[in-house]
Amino acid sequence: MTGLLAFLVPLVAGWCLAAAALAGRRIDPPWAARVLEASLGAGAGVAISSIAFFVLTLIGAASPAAILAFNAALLAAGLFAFWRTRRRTLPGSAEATARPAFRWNWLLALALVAGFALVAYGLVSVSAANPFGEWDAWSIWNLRAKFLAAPGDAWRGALSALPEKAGMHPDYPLLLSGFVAMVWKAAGDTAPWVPQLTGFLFLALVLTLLASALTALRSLTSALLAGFILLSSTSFLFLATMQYADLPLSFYCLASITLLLLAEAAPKCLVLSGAFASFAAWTKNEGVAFAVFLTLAILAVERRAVRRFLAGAAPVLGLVICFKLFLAPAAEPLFKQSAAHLAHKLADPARYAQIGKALVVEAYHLGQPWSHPLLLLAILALALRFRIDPAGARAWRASAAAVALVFAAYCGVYLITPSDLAWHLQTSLPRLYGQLWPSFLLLAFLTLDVPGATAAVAASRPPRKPRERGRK
Amino acid sequence: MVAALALAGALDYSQFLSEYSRSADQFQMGAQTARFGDALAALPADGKVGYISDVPAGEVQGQAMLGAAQYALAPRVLVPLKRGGSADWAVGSFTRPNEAPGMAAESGLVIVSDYGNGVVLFRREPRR
Repeated sequence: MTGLLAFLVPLVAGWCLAAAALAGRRIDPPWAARVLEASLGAGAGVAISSIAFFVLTLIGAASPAAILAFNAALLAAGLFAFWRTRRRTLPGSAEATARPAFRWNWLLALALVAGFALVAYGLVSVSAANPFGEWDAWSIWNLRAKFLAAPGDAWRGALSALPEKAGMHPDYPLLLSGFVAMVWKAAGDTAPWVPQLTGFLFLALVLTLLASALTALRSLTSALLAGFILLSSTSFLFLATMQYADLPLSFYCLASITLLLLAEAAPKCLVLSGAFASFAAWTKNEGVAFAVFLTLAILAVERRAVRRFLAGAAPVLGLVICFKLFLAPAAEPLFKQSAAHLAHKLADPARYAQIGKALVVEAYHLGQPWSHPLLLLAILALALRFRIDPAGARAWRASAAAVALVFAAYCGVYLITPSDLAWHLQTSLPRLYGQLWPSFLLLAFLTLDVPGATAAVAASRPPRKPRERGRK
Repeated sequence: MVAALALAGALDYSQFLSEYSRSADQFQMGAQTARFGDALAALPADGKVGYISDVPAGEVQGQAMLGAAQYALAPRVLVPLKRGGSADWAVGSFTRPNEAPGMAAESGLVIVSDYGNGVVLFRREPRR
């Protein structure tokens, strides 16, 4: 019971905080706004409680009582902020409610729910049969959570610099391990349901965030069709059973991009976008690359916006930098190679060919051949054609550039990896696709001219105030 | 058409998941971690503990056995023992338990308890 409370309270507190932070920004329709707030808030709650637990651990104050007290304070702060900002909530715009809706949306929604129920049942069966998750779950993420949840100074084992522990990647950021450890410590045991449920939580959050974001930014039909593409992305769905940090990372990247797109109409969302990018950096090293590239992309597209973005990102990015500089052992072998070795690899055409082939093979394995997500996307593109909303074009360009740069960086790492290239590609490429897949789907559907789609960013923009006459 | 294809794919995938769930725990982590239950109580609560196995850690099976032992025994930090290793306590995970006494002697360890199922607890021989 204590464990369940420690798991759920941060999600509810995050929801209240997100609802308060987004109050006053017109997001239509209202149900999509509520789902968006809940998805973003639950993800933020996981991140905040994970960070708080890590800080409590660092100062030697992480006890079940301290964890529950912090969670209670977070919930109280969330409820207070929610209550304070309720009065600023705006009604849905008439423009949005007048959007022409696709008449078969109800049937699409029914089919989508049935499809996800079917797949969710299968995924839960796999997770029940394999409660400790896949290899990296028990050798990295949950193992480090066990160290963090242990009494006394034993948490330092999660950052062990022993060469034998290099496979545990003690330099990896701690969002997932920290959240799991927080619940374990509060509960007083290390029950496998915590990482199991966390995996399914993030799958649900990706789905609800993608659906609500597309409903708000384009149309319900866009959201439903994107849901079908996600349903057919079998290698992505399987991440829920693995208990790895790739699925949470995909959520935080998607959340940051969603808020960047919403910021076209409500610039204050830039601060939240920065915060979620920093949560991505606290999740995995790839998240650090995402935060850096998104910052650069925003800088290139609209220099003034980067200040707000960085204001949101700074606190947790500061923590990540301190963690990397002062706590985590320098365990990344990528940076320990000689220049001559690197040059040799960069000049080897066979490595380019091997990576190119693996990119194609793993793209093929994203789904089943005849319901492959890229095939379904191609069908939609042919049937619907493209229409980029000029009102959201800058944020779209920055987001797309960031996703492309992160993907290019992944390919660059493969080129110079000190590990066996075939092994490295085989064990990581499907997960790297998964990290960016929801963001790619969001950006792809924003370019499709789906029935019922409107210039939603423009529609969600608050009406201009009439210029006051005689104002000094 | 897209919805129909995705639904048919979901049906097919759920059948695959149903079959896959029968062999999902390929490293038998549930059973592996349960093997070390008795050794947990006898070991110090944290700190470094030696690790010995008849399967080299360079092999996939050896890595899986070490990983399972480490997960089961955390927050103790398992350190694979080479000859002359210094940990006072060591735990062994063997596929051929009859090799335990010989390997223990080579590392200067004595057997404290054989829990069966290939799990053996060792302690360093006191120096004379």
